[in-house]
Amino acid sequence: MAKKKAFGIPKSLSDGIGETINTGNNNVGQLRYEIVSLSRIQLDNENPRDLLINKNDVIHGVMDNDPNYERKKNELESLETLAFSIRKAGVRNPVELYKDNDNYILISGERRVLSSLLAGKTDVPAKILESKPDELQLRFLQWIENIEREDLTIWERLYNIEQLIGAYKNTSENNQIDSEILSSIIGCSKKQSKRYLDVVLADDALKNALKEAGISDLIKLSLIVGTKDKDQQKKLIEEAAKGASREDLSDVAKTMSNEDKKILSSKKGKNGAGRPRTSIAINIPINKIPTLQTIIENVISSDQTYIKHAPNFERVDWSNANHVKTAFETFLDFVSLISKDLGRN
Amino acid sequence: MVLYTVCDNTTWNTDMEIICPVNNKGGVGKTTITKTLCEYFSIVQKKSVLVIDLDHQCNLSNRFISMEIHPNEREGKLPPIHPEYDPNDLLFPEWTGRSSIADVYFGKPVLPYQTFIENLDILPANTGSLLAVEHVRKDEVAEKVHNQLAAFLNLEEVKETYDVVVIDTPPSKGPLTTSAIRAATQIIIPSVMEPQPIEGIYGMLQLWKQEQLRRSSESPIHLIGILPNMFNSQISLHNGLLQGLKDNPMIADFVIPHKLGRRVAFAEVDAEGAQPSSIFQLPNSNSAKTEALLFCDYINERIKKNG
Repeated sequence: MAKKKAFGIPKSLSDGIGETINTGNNNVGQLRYEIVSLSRIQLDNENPRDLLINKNDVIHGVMDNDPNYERKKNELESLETLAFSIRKAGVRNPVELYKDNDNYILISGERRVLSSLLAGKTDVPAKILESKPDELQLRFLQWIENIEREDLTIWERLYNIEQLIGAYKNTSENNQIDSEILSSIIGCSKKQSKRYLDVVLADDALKNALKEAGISDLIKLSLIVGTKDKDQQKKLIEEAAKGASREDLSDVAKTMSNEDKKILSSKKGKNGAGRPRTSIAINIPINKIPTLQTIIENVISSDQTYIKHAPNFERVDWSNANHVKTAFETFLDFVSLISKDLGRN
Repeated sequence: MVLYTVCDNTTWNTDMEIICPVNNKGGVGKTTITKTLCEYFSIVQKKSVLVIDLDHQCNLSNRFISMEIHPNEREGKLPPIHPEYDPNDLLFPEWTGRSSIADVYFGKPVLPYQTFIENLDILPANTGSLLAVEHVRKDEVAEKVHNQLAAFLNLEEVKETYDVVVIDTPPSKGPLTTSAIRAATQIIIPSVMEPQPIEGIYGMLQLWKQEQLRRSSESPIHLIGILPNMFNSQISLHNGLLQGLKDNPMIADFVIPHKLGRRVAFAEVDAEGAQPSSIFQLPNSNSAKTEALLFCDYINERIKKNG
């Protein structure tokens, strides 16, 4: 008798069926597109808008007395190219909206909406979020949309971040935000999010000064904001405005902060985190050595207790940096020894 | 008398369940399952049920009301004149007295027919008009067809009248089947465990996925699962293919654990003047009834769980 035949489903078909079930069940609503009347779409003014022009300007033309007449005219012209393609081929990628009562608020697709109006269209394909996204999610969606755009200035990005932070504070119980939280929200490195955070949290006067100086590089901005001394900040802003590179700027900052190290490091020693400091390094520029010599000589000649150490310093070659270093260390040693003795007496 | 007319102001969330057995391969038992389910929900569960026949062959319609032969179309059938039709009614002067689900697609009002089963109404097929809808190919028109049945079933009056709607679909992936899936809240894919119908499962799942991705996540189309139909455990092809589906962990949960066999009792109740006229009116000892009850109870439970 012939062996009973065994049957099965071809693997490709079985895989296809399984994957289709899986995709269908896990992605309800992912492709929910509709055609929405343009008249019901509102631009989101909270979103850092790239364009100054609004729906009215597109529909009725830019008013002659508009304070931004020139810029708006240019924007209108730039929208024409997209409008031309929309007339020919329609809007290829749906815009994103969420429903707000009877209207829709635009999440992304400002140019597409305005150009569609310009092209004389009455509606536009849209992906509609089922409900109003929570504030944090909304700002995040706008952030993703904006981060891909090269034409957005750093200040528009920072405005975006500021709103994200605001939304985070409003929606979570934690009203403190640090670079770690921010980096987990926007998905960038902690270093980068710290830079954003530093600049966003800077005071308005400083931010305005930076804006006016036309500094558009985040690293430069965070370097300047991170410099606490007002005069130094001013100097750095000037340098950056003159077009100093990141390297130039950080060199300038280093030199200036070296001059101030003494004050800065004593502050850090008290409040800084980590292991307590057991020593401090003092950098004395060559041109300040005569001052140091004066201090040492004055201290030594000022008192009987010190004067017996004077011979130790007579042999110092003040033009030799190594000599000066050893001399200063010795000086510190015996001054502290003598102070201790005095204390005991 | 209320004639239902589709208008634009429909709301989409509904407690009414719309169940749809679909498979583009013919002869897998869609009509038998539709019939079994609508009778189960009206007779056993005492729900108010509307059954819809989208298949131009009119088999399901013929079971519940006496369809008439179309005078001009070969093999064409028409619903009978509606018992409530009054030619002197001035309210609906255009109505000619016959009502078919096809009218919904042409934007005309419809009036369901009562069947011999309490709580069960039917909107029958109409061969010519349904074929006309099925052959729509122009994109804009097809899109309208796809939405039309959902718009009709979401009318407040319809939702108030019925608890459950069961839709029999034609053996195709055409506009009518798409419109049924678009309206559905639950779908079942009946299949004979043979290679061609199983290809049909894949085709239907593709259609389901496509519709599912467009749905709002508050009103998904629940896939109840694949129903092994007309199953014969003596046939190793049936056993092998069923095992093949169960062996894939992604499919296994969606294979309905009840099988409907090829039983003459399902056909006997269709015969003219048959008594009893529904499988659920057979004595409890009847094995076809037991099998049907097991299957229908399972579907009912799944729907409750999905809801």
